[in-house]
Order: sequence, then structure tokens, then C-alpha cells
Amino acid sequence: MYATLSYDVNAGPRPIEDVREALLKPFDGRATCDLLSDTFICEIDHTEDYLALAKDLRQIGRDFPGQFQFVFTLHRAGDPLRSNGQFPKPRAREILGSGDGG
Amino acid sequence: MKSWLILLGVLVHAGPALAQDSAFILGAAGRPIIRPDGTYVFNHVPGSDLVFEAQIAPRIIILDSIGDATRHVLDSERGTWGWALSTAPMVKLRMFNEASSPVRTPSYMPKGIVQVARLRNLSRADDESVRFKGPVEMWLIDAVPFGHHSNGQNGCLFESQSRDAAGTCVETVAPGPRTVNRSDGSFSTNYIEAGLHYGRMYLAARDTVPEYGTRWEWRAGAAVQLNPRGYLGGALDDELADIYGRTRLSLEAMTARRDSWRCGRLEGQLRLQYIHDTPAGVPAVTTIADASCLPASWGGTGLFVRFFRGQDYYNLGFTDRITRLQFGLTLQQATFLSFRIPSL
Repeated sequence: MYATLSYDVNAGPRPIEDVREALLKPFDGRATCDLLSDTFICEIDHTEDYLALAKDLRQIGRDFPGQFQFVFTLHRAGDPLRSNGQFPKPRAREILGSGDGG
Repeated sequence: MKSWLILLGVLVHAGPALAQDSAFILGAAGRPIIRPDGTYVFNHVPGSDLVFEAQIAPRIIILDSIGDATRHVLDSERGTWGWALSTAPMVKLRMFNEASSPVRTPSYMPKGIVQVARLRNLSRADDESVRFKGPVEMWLIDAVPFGHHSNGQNGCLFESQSRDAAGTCVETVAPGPRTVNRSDGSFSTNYIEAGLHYGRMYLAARDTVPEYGTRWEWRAGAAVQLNPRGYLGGALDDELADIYGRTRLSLEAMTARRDSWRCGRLEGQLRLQYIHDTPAGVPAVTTIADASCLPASWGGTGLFVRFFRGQDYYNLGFTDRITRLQFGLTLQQATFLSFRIPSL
């Protein structure tokens, strides 16, 4: 499976760079691919993996109040990615194809 | 009997249990089939002159929004509603071990079905990995606005009758105990049925798709069936109503488990039916208990055993009290519901 993360980072008491750094940390060591700005896809091993990542992202929202909002969506492996933006398609295809697709 | 048991053992062991996902679970884009009648081919003990009995009842979904409702259950605290319109061109038949193996007066039982379902996740846990496991409750109204049961024959109902010049069945022998004409006696009724059912589904992550699927479920409910006078062509006439009964009440409970032992679907069911106005000699209460195992690799086919005691359900057999242990093959379209994981 794979997931798409759309997020919004706002100016606030903490530097925006700190928020960006924090939000990318949960995805260390995981195949990811940037789409347009503030959206990217990542590979997901299983449902618990997805829920744990969502929990980490929610914690970042609490650590940076008012500076980070997100929508994190789980997709079946192989499901089409709908984006009219420029993105590295071979890399995205690798991530979209991860898992057996059930 | 021994050869039947050996065959059943071989068949069950031929189907290896698959991983968590199976054909028995509905994909979130599918149309759920809830409380289908099922297709069966079977025999029974104690033995009789029956070669086999069969029920052929494919459920055909015409319109459905219950499938769509399942896509939003995990995302909604208030629950979701859906409805479905379907039909079942059901046929029951018995082949007898007589000259030329006749299939004597099959039951033709087509019906239209309307179902309305309300689904709601009862879990209020903050942690999604707990909350998404449910249980999800389902209230189900299961109605048959029109059902027909006939045997396609044109003879008179009783052996003591024959048709006069106008085609009306009249008594032609001296009055006495009347015997139902089982070779070509005409049987026909139209009915309305309505039931209310409540159940809960306990879920597990499917992991290959973004959904939580039902791991096991239980459901219980009650229904009433009316066979009104003059309910379109083929309705139950007064003569037949006196010995068939116009009103039936039923209670039922079921439980089913996914991927248990070697069964993709393991199900047990108990049903009690009360016939309000039964003829003398026929018990008012019918008891049905059955269990089925659909091996994961059999694509919906499996084995079942059923205990039946009560009024014979086979058209002209309604004056008989039968007690049977039925066993054989079944094809079930019932699917475990699956619920889409919402965006977080």
C-alpha cells in the first residue's frame, strides 16, 4: 500500500524550517516521493504502520500548534495517483506498486 | 453413509486455508449480499426415496447503496444508511428414486427483496487502531414486498376432486378424509414478508487494502410472513389457506467467522418458525439449525449440515411433519462487510 500526505505549514512562533524538519522525520528510511509542493507519497507496510505514522504526524501538530495541518490518506497498492503536476514518475511507480495489492 | 463421510473429509482437506483475505469478504467497491437464501444440493437421514434435494437461489442485486454506506462508517460517529433492491429467482426441487427419477412438482419461489441497513461504529476509542476494530452494529430491515410460491401444476388440490366443464375443482367421490394430490395438484401462494434484524461485526485490518474487514459477526432478528387473500394472481385461496396457514412468524440467530480452521466462512444458524393456523397433525413450530463451512479456496462453495423438524416446506408437502438431518453442498453469496479507512 502507499499513502499520500498533503500538508500545510504556516508561519508562527517557531521557524517554518523546524516544522518541515519535524514532519519529515517520521518518514526517515522510508521510500517517499515529492509531488507538487506540500504533497508527497510514501510506502506503507501495513495498516498498523499507517496508523502509527498518522499518530506521529498528529503529535507534530500538537508540538507546533497552529503551524501544521495535514490530510494523510491510505491507498491500495497499484491504485492510480491523480496529480497533474510534475513529479518523478519512475520513483512514484515504485512506491505505488509496493505491497501485493490484495 | 461411510462413503459420504470419506468424501466430505477429502474435500475439506483439499482446500488449504488461505491468508487473512479471501473471496468471502466484500471489497469496499463491491455490492454486499446480506441474508441470501443460498444454493444447496443435499440428501438426508433417515433415508427415504429421495435421490437429492436442491435449492437454487442466486441473489441478484439491482440497486444498492449499502456498499457505499460501508465506505463511510469508520468516518462517521452518527452512522450511515444504505438500501438495496434485489431479486432471487428461487427454485426448490426433489428428485425421487422411482421409475424415470421424477422431479415431482418443484417449488417456484421468485421474490423481490428490499433491504434497509443502518451501520454505526460503536467504538469511541481515541486510538484508531482500536476504534477501527469496531464493533460495527447493523440494524437491518429485510422485506419481501412480493414473493410467490407455486408448483407449476394444474391438477386439483385433492385426489377426491376433478375439474368440471368450467374448470372448477369439485368433489367427485363420497365425502371422507381428503388426501392432497401430490402428483399434479396445484399449489400457489403470494406473500409479503418483513423482518427486523440486529447484529454486530468485529473487524480486523486487511493490510493489503485500506480497509477493515469483518473477522466475525453475529445477528438476530424476527420476521413475519403473510399470505393474504387476493394478493395478485396466484394468491392463496381459502381452501388451501385452511390447511396451509396464512401467517408465519420466525425468530433467527446466526454467527459467522472468517478464515477459521480451514473455512473461509464458518457459519452457524438457528431458526424457529411459528405457523399461526396450522392444519391438524402439523406442528405449529418448525426448528431449523444449520452449520456450514466454505473452504477458502472453493470460491463460495462448501459443506453444510442442517437439522430440520416441523412442517414440510416443499409445496404440497405442507401436511407432513418431517424430522431430518440434511447434509450436502452449498454455494453461498453472503459476504463479510469491509469498511474503508478514512483519511486522517
